Amino acid sequence: MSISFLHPAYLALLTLLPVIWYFRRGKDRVLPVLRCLLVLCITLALMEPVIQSHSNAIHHVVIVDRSPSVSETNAREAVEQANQFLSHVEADDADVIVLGNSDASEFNNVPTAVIPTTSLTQAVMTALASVPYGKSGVITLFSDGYATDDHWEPVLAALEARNVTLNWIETDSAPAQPTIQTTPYPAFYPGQSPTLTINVLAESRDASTLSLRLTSQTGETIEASLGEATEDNLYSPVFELPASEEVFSTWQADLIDNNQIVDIRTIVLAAQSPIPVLMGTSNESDGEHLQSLLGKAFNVSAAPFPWTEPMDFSQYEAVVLNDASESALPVQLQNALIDAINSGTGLLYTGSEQAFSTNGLARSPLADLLPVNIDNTETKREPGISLAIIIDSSGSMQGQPIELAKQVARLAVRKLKPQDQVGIVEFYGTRQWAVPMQPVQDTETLERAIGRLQAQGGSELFPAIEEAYFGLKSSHNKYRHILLITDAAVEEQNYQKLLQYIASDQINISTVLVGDNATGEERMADLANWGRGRFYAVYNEFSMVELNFRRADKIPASAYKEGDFTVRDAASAAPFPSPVRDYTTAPLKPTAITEWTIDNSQDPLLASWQAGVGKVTALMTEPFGKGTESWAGMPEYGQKLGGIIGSLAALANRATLTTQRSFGQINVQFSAQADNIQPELQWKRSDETSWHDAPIRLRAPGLFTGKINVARDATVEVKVSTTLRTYYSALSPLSDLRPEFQFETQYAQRLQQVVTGSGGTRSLAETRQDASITGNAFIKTFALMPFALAMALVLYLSEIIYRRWPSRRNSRFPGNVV
Amino acid sequence: MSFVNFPFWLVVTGAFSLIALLYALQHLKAQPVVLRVASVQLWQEALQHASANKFWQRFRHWLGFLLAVLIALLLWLAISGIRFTDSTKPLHVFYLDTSVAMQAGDNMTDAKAELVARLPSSSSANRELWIGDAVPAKILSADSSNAVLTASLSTIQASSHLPAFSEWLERVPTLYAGQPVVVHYFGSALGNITAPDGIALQNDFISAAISANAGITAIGQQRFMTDNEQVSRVTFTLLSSVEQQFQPDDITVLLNDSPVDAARIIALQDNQFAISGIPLTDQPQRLTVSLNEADSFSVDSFLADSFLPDNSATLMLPAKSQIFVALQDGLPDWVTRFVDANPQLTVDPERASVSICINRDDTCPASGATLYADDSSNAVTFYTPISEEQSSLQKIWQAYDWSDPAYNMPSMQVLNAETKSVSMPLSYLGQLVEKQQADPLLLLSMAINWLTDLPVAPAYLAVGEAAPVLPGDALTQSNAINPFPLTISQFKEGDAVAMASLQSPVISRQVASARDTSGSVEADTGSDVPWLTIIILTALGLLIVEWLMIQRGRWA
Repeated sequence: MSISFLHPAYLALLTLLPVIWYFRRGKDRVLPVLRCLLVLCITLALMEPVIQSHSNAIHHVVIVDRSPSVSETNAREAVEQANQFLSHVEADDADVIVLGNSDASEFNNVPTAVIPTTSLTQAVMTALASVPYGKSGVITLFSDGYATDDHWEPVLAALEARNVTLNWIETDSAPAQPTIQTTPYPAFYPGQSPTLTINVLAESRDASTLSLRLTSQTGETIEASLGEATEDNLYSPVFELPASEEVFSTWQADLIDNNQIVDIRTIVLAAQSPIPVLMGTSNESDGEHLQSLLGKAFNVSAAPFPWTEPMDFSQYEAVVLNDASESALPVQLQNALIDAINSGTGLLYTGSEQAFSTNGLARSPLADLLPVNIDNTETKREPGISLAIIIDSSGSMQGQPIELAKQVARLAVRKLKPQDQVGIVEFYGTRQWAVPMQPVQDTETLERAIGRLQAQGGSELFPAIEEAYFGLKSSHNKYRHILLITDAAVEEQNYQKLLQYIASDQINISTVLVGDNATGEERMADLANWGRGRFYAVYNEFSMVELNFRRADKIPASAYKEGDFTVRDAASAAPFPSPVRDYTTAPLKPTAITEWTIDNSQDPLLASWQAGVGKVTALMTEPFGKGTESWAGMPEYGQKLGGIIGSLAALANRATLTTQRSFGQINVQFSAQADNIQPELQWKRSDETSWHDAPIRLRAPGLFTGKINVARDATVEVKVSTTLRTYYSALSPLSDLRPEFQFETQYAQRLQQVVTGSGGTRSLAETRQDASITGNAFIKTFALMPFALAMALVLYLSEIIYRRWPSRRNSRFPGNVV
Repeated sequence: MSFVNFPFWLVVTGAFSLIALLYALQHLKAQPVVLRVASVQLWQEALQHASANKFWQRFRHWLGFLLAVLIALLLWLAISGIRFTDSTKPLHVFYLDTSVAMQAGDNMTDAKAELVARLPSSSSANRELWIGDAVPAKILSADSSNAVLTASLSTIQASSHLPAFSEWLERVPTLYAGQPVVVHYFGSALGNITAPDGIALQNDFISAAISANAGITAIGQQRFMTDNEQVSRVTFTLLSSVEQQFQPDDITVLLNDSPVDAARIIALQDNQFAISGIPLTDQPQRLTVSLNEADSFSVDSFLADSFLPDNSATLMLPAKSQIFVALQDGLPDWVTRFVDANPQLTVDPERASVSICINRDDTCPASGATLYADDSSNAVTFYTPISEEQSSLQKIWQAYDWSDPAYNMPSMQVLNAETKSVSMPLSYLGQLVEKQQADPLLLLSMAINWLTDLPVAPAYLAVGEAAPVLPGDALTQSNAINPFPLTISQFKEGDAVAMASLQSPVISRQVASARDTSGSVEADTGSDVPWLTIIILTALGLLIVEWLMIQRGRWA
């Protein structure tokens, strides 16, 4: 305890004391002493002495919740209990805060502040501000605990910093009203129909009369009933909203009960930016084709081969290579692409035979990243042959020649394989197809047809050769051959021109001279020479020749297969509605997985595996070529392709953008898988056209935060842009508030945590317990000025009494009393 | 007019009482006593009293009475604490900022001196003083004695908290319910702060800028699992008000007081740095990053940094997260492979806190919470006694896009149960794993962590901000109130300790921002006429006059 003087200068007034003493009359000492004491007291009062002491008094603040969620009866009971509580507390050590509208005079002259807000967090902070500096405090909250906001973190921190305890005396709440709780929706893209779920909390007895109406900014409305409850009193109707090209769309949700709106919520939907995809291809239209197949969820950029300039693959979440080759994709770019894949970019490798052969990337660095082997070792391949056998069945062939011719024909047919085609033209003055061009499926039938040939008629070879040529012209087999079997007794014609012409069309003509006709050898040899074929002479059955019409090709291990092949999903085993026409077989590498298979074979059509952070998928056919011709009309094809590319992109950069409003500030949190990106944060109000920049900074590896100051009742659109993609979020007005009657139990639980964290208690009114707390020592002052003045007044009155008291009044006249 | 010490009725009653008393004393006359005196003396007295014939002397006794009444009433009013207030005059509220920026230079000393000089001159009837602490509080209310001021101010120092002025200013209309208020601000430079309607803001003192400042404005961590190890990667950001580009040699990093080799500090862009691969140990580790002091003899010594709170930042790296699990026989291979490969998980049935079972029967280990297979429905079910966890679990699903059919992940549901457990379609998830999809592994990891309720070390902890909650953390932190440090301090939550650092680029830059420090227009702080002092002095003067008159024999 100590005494201090606020105006010590007034001490100078003590110089009046000698004046008073000097101007006394008579020998009386009492009067001047009294007067001096009087002046001394007044001087002391003017100096304003103050006693300072330390006190442990506690300041009490009572908060009475009179928000609409608390019924009038409960509110009045709370007021009574508060007054009862305050009656035990010094008025100087107490304040009252009332939430909602109330009469401050209800509280017995205790300083009362009425806050029009219904925010419990704001009420507690205001109550905290009422606790004087250095003093401990107890805040007693009479409330149902249903807060309209959730900003308890700073409240608890402030209570702990000030050593203030929060006690909660729980009151009953008014009956719940139906409210819209949350409105979640999955990610969607511009042009897609968003799916919105509206969770409504309502008593089952009310639900039957409740309905929801959604209204867009353009006036479009959708109405629906609540349907069946998904949980206790929770209804979750799902709305399929119309697609929009805009990123942001605003809807108003009205909860209607018998034509009366009981709750309104503004919902702002934010679409996600399309997944950026790069397509490398030789065909310029492939990019547009892919874009139209994939739809709005993807943004396809086409880069035609060859790629010569450096490329930043990190801008794309997936890269599609169609029929890439070493010349189209130099090694440097391949290495850059590999780096991007190892960092998360996905790769879809597709193409025809070229993509999976030595002409592709077989010896390149990229080949190691593929889930299938692009093997450069060559193996033999026997390509298909189309063989037209022209048999001279003219009269001159009677006897041994025709038999020899038939035998040669049979030998030739036996050399053929099922993928080959054969036809037999006989000429005997006219020509006809004994066996039309057809696949070699039934060799017995062919041999029977050969056996039925008979030598008769004239010999006109020239038209037969023409006929055979026309029959072979439409064949697509690699090797096309005409085998002419005759005894050379044919008409004179300009065979040279014809045969050379045919040979220029990649159709070779070989000749077989049957019979013993030495003069015909030169002629037949010439024919073979002109036709770029071979000449054989079969004089008798002992001089049969080995006919060889095909040359084995050396091809890489992956073989291009043509035909119609059924495709199955490896997981579900469900077949695709349409077959794939052609594909290339490529062996699967160990640990790679097959996603699509060719039916009745082990060949994968779609294979994938992980490469670093990224994923690589190989599709062993062209996405838009002959192989997938039949899929072009398949509605699911685009979806499947989108699913493949989507799964590739998923690993590229899984970033999340969250925004949260806190009063007049929006906190932005952006987490990515890398911290060397430089995101840019922008925002705007929904009625604005231009974006505002806001700072965003790196806080932890891959974690960026930013703050935006904007009014609480504004609809705000936020975007964070990286080199890869743009992320969007939107906040409805007052999005950090909950309606008064939305009894969010989560919020009540948080209030309980705050009470416990501050050292307080939660109780019902009838079982209220006061937490015992120790007060902080704070400086208390006691002014002595009034006491000094009171003493001065007493001295003054005493002096007057002393002066006027009859017994002491001395006569001026010394004399005798008569 | 009002009275501080007594109610009005008491003042009036007292006044009348005094008048009555003095009136009664006025009539306190002596009984006549007849004395026989010498005639000479009688004539002398007559001559002395000759002036009694003057007009005013007929009333001298009444004048004395009135003077006595006046003196008594003046003293009584002074005792009552009379005060003349003009209700239309605004209340002057003084706000002394004690935020961290006031630690720069002599800001705090200068602000206090300015405040002490201005405050006592203002009338105590309409002035208040607030201390802008981490939580602003009133230190002097209206009518409270200025005696508190000197004693309290001497103990007040700048603290390591962020300014709370703008939030307090928004609350002023509520605190002073309709009363006109002038706020006098003494503190660090503000940004663009607009006072609410009806409140006038006056910058009576703005702290001077220091010449230059460098500081750490961000520091955070992320835990990774690599092979058989749990490691942490730390990033931090430096700021220089003179746009200096820092090098790793400008920084000292201590890990549990042992220096970290500067070669491990990797410079990113824009004064951002990273340290990767810090192995986590069984105990938390303290990582402190600090700026090396400028050489006092160097050319740049004049740019010496006189704002130190942002020169160092401390981060607590968490202890290795260890979860002991018990496995039932017959689990899918991918689950056992995952447990073997995950450095966070250790198979130890004796100490297991989580059991992973294929069937919930007697062979399922009964230790701790259970995660079991349920392929009857394509859903992951979280059983919990805390229904409020549903929203945080839904947020997880949304954050990872697991609701998107493209990911083929099962749906999620939350059901009430007495104890925590999780059921998953392990076979179906295994198929996704075979397709090399990582989401099932992430889900399994998160579910195990959710069952064990392990505390999660925050990525960073900054003064004046709630600790961030990442999507994965939300699963374990559920509905908890996040730490919200108000000062540079240590935060203890259970067994976990976290360190809060300043990390404020606004403050670090503002302390060195040039500003116009010319004094603002001095507004009338309401120094009213000191009526109380005048009354007392008047009473004193009248007492002296009365005394003189009494001693001269004029009055009795």
